[in-house]
Parts: sequence; structure tokens; C-alpha cells
Amino acid sequence: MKFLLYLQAAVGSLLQHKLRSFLSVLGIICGVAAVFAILAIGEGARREVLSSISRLGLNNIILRSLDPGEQNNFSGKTYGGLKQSDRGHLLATVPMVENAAMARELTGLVVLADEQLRLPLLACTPGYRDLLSFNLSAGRFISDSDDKDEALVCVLGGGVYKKIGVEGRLGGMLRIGKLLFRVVGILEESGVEKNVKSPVGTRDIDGTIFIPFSSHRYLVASQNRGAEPDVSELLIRIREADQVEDSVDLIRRVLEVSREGEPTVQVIVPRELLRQSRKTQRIFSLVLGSIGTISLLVGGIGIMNVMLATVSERTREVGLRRAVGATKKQITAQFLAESILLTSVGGVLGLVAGLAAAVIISTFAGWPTGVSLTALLLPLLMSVAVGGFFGLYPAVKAAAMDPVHALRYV
Amino acid sequence: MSDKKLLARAKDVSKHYTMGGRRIEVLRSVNLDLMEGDFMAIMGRSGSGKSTLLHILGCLDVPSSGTYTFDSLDVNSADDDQLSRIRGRAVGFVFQDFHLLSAQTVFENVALPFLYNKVDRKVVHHRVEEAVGRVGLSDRLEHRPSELSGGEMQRVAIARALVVQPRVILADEPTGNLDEESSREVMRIFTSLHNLGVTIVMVTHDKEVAARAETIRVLRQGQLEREEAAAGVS
Repeated sequence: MKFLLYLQAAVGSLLQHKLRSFLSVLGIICGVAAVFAILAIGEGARREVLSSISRLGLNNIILRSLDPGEQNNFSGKTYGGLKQSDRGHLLATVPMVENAAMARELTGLVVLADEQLRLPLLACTPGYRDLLSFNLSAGRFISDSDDKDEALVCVLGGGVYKKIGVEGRLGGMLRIGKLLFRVVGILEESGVEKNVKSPVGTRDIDGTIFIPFSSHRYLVASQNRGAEPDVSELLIRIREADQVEDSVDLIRRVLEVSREGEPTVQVIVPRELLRQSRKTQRIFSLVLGSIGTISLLVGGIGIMNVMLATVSERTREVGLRRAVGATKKQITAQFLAESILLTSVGGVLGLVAGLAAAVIISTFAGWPTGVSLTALLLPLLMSVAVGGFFGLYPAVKAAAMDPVHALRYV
Repeated sequence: MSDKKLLARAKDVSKHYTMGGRRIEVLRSVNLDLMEGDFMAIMGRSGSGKSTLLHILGCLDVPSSGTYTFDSLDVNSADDDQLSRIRGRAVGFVFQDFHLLSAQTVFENVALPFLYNKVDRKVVHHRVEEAVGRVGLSDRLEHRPSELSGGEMQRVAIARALVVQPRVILADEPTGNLDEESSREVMRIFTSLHNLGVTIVMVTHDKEVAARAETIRVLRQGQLEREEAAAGVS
């Protein structure tokens, strides 16, 4: 309660020298703004990475074929990496594998009434959607019977549906290349911007057209028909989270044995990516936090300088306050209240400046930013701590003054 | 005189300072009894130790040797917090150059001692208004010191000394910076306070001002030489 009265007195005292007070907190404002902006950018990057990783599924392991082969007439790619039979092998030999889905990337020419669009196609088995957990806004996803019957059906990504409009309506026919596919489902838009390059290479679900895995043979060159279709991606779900690490080694081994050599396959483990991302994030936060802390310390030295000058010019006032009954502790508290108030105001102004900086960076540089409670509270608490730490010496110095000498100070 | 209670007693009080390696004796074996309701003037030349004695009487300073007892408390053995408490509750200082806080209003200046005492806000308001009323400045509560004359500023300082209802008011050359008219007004206030039973000790080198006190003590070269009866209190 008394501290509030000291704060009230401090407000009056600081308002007496508005410009000096403002200049003295400029360092704190810059420090807090820097810390806040850094944390906001860091948080934005962290959320983006986490969102990308979690879209891959934390219990999943993703195998991607490397070294793509030559393209055929329909822009389908041939791969030397994964084979269709790998799915069955893994399900049969690795007990930790709960489910597996495969997919092949293609590019198809979608022929509309007045334009032609070259769009990514993904030929996948029905389990693909379950493993990546994306939602439907209408219709259904590829079914087992679609895959079994090599049905000419397709499911549109939310972005594709938006782009092609009524021609992509549910139940309608869509011409891809020379074939007509019936639209059986439309996915919900995920909202992930296509121009954002994902650090872990997640697929642009919104911009993709899904077809049954078996049907893709109609779209690839005739010379490849009849051969075992190549697989560009194998998605594997592991039963328990703690089995993921062990499963990776086992899966590699199974693939090696089935090929009598090392497979040309990239193994992506979202859980491992998450761990690495968190580690990188910690280092990032530590480095940036250190930079922010140094700038706050520099601001704090400025505060100490101003407070020492204030104490010196208010020597007679200190004498008077002691004469009317102030104890040393009360004088200390009063000057501390002033320095803490000063840095707290600096902290709030710094937050506003930091927020503005984050918005500007986000708008003009296109970097994602995110405001967490830590980003709000940490710089503010640090500025209060700086006020307390750097204001303590001047406050103690004021309290230690001999009241008689202070009253006579000229 | 005999029915008055003892408020403070200085016995063989000496005070010295060391400046530039030299020991300077300011007070030498001062003996003084201050009774409740006294109005005492302490006279002496500049550097005679008047202000130092006043500071010791107000527990702002402590003797180098000898004993000083204020309201039954042995000041020599009291710690800093105890001395602060006595100053805050039992002593009101009035200084020659007013010592008002320029950024604060008359009300805030007078209420300053309550910042360091636990007193209810309503009581603070009442006491401040009462004290300011006693010095005739009720209409200047929201004014700042820069908007007041010298005499008015000293009256604010007296109100600040009065506001805690102290056991003693210690005034150090209260008219030293004032013109004749203002000095008379300040002394009129002191006299009326004395008539109400307030204990006042005033340091001055002005005989005319000192004459308004009940008793006059003279300090010469650090020693209280004699006690004189003042011309009278009106």
C-alpha cells in the first residue's frame, strides 16, 4: 500500500522532468522492443514448424523415394526407391507398424471449359487420409473399392475446388488429361499458404487432386502399364509413440533385405524433427535472449546514471524527508519505486514498439510472427528487474545520506 | 513552571566534527531541560552551534558525548528507525529556507510527513486542512510554492510541522529569509501556538524575534552561557 503512495510520488517526480525521463528510458524501450520482436518472430517460426511437423503425424514415419527417374508423357515420375510391395513387406514383418499408406505424385492437365490447369495429382491408397488426418467438407475420400476397381474418381483439395469452381462440384465430372474423373469428395481448406515453403516438406494438400492409387496407371505412359507401379511416398503409422525410434531401424533393415542393398529412400521422422526443432528453438531463444538482455543491461546503466544524477540534485529533498520521519528503508523504497516506474513505463512503451515492429516485419517481410504470454511477460518482467537492480545503488546511496548534511547541501 | 512535564533533557552534550583532519568542537557540555509548553529562543552568532543543537534536540543528529533524552527515550542508544519515528510523530521542523517541494501543492507539502506514517486518508485530509487553516492559508491548498510569497511559504512549512501534532516545534531561523511584515506574521503564529500549549524551540540571531519567546538561551563558542527571561510573550 505504501509502495503505491511512493509510486504516486514517483509519478509526480518523473513528470517534473518529462524529457529527461523519456530519454533515460529510451534504452529500455529499444531493449524491450528488440526482445519482444525477437520472441514474436521466434514464436511465429516455432508455431509454423510445429504445425508442419504435427501435420505429418507424430506417430508416423514417412518414406520418400529419392532419385526420381525420367518423366513420361503424362508427367508421372518413375522412382527407383520405393515399390508397391514394400507396404505389404513392412506390414507383415514390422510388428510395430499399425497401418501404412502409399502415394505417387503426378502432375495432371485439368481441362476446364475455358482454361487448362496443370495441377499436382496424388494417387494414394484409402488409408492416406486417416494417417494425415485431413478433413472433408463434402462427399467422401478414396475408398477401398475405388482402389480395388481402379475407379476413375477424384477428391479435390479445398484450394483446387475454390480455383475451378462449379466444374469441380461434387458428383460432377472433371477431365484430367484424356480421362474423365467423377468428383466424389472435397477436402476442407487447411489454410496453409502455398507460398510458404515448409521446412519439413509437407505437401500442399489444398492444391492437390487425389485419385485412387491403382487408377494412376491410366495416367502414366503405356510402356509402364503392367509393371509394378512406383511409389513416391510410403506413410507408416507406428502403434506407440515410444516405438517410433526403434521402428525406423527395423524398417530400414527390412527395405535393405528386400532389395539386397541400401534403398534410395529418404526417411522422415516427424517426432525426431520435432525434437531437433525444439533444440534449435532453445539455442535460437538463448542467443536472441542474450542479445536482448545485453541491450536491456545497457538501458539499465542509463537508468542508473539518471537516478544517480536525480539523487544528487534532490539531496536537500532527501534531508527534508528524513527530517519529517522517513526511515532509510522508506527512502530506498521511494527511489526504487521511481526507477522501477521508469523502466516499467519503458517496458510498456517497448512492448508497443516491439508489437509494431513485429506487425511491420510480418507485413513487409512475410515472416510469420506469434505473440506468446512469455513474449509479453518476459520483457516486461526484465524491465522491472532492470529498474530494481540498477535503481538499487542510487536508492541506497540516497538513504545513506546524513540528514543534517543533506538539509544543508547547496 | 514546576507543574510542567519534562519533555527533553540534554546533559553534558558535546558535538564535534572532523573536517580535513581537523577536529571542530561545535557544542561543549551543553545542559538543557525542555519542558512541555516551553517557548524557548536559542541565540548566538553564526557558527555558534545553534543549528547543531536544534538538530540534536529534534533527533536529526546525535551527540558525540553526553546524553540526550527525548520523551524518555535515550537518543544515544536509539537506532536510526527509532529516531525517524520520533521525528515523524513528535517533532516538527521549520527551516529558514522553507524546504518545500516545488512540484507539489500546498496540500501535498503539508501532508508529506503522513507518507511515512500509517494514518487514515480521511484523518490526513482533516489534519492538513486544520493545520493549513491555523496558518491562514485555507484558500491556497492547491497552489504550488512558486505561486506563494516568502511569508506564505514559511506558513506552509509551519503547517507541515504542525500537521502531525508534534510534541515540539523546532524552528531554525524561521524569519531569516522574510521581510518585516512576514516575520511579524510568522511570530504571531508561533505565539498563538504557544498559547495553545505547543512547545516551541526557535533558533535565531534576531533579538527582536527572540524577545517573543518565553525564555532565551545564548550559545557562545559551543556553550550555553546563561538563561535570560525574554521580554515577554504577547
